[in-house]
Amino acid sequence: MIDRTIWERWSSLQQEGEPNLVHQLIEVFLASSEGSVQEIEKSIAAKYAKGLAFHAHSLKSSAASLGANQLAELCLKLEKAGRDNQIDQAAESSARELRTEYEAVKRELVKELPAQRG
Amino acid sequence: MSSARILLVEDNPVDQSIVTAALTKYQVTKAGTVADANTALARELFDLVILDINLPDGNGFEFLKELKSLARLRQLPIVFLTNLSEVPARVQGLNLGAQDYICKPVDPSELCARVDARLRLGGRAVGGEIFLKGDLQFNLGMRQLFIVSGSEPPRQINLTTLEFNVLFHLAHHFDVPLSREQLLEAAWSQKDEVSDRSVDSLISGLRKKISSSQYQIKAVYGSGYRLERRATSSRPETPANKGSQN
Repeated sequence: MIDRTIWERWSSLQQEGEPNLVHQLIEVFLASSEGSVQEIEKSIAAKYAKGLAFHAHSLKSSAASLGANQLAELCLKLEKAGRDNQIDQAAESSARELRTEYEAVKRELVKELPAQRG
Repeated sequence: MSSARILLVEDNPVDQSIVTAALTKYQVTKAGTVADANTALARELFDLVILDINLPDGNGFEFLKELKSLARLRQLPIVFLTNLSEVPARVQGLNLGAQDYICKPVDPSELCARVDARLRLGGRAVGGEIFLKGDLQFNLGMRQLFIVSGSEPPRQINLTTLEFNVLFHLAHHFDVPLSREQLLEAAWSQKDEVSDRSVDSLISGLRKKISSSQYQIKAVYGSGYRLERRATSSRPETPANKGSQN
């Protein structure tokens, strides 16, 4: 679900005494990705192909950067559907898969974070 | 931290964070949209732009074309950073005049190495040492200028720090007119204490000091000043350039 080997690339950037970079990136992803998933779902419902292509592309980039490759692949499928103006049953099915995969990725990522303070 | 300034035009927050973390040795300004990028470019001078292609309010290819159509920004190095990895997109980006094309997901060390290389090719000494523009050799660490001519030993030109800063800025943006405001911004730390006339007076002194160089400072009506190559015939003959072609 998540290829953590990509995180090793960032280890050289981690500076002593600074906040954990992987945690920071996960938090940035969690803060921004839900909005993208919702926009993808709205675009599908409204048959708004341009919006679908744009938001799927954006989420694809974040997902791939964090090693969430299956999520990135689903985004690519939806991005292509948007670009080809083909919001059909297959695209709707991909969007449902995307939501399921996204929730699973989110659960995995949250586990990486230190326990909630307070 | 290097003094090189980089404009990162990227709307994706995860990629913004990765790039910023990878390039901590540079001064990175973030812009999430083409509109934000235009605002930043109007306000500040940058040494390099890292540009995504799919942006909320525009397309990176089109934005690059716009930048290349502006004399002030034509020579600004552009590096695409995108997840459009197909060969036609890469070829298009490079053909439009981008200096590099990096595909996501980005490897931070590779990104840093490529940015270092682009800044070196652009004339900036990343390590902060030597910047060469034709026969003008700037030693950035010592804030010294030398004129290098053929086999003659480099000749040091005595400049004040302000003169050095202004000339370096003009050389760094070669052939591009810079306004007095931009020169003030670049050279004076306390710019409230000086006026446009201070720039004019400083330029006048600088012109005399580099009169034996291949380059001259030209006033551009309504724009400011630019450093340009001197026409061979108008270059005064000196012992340093006597008999040379340029």
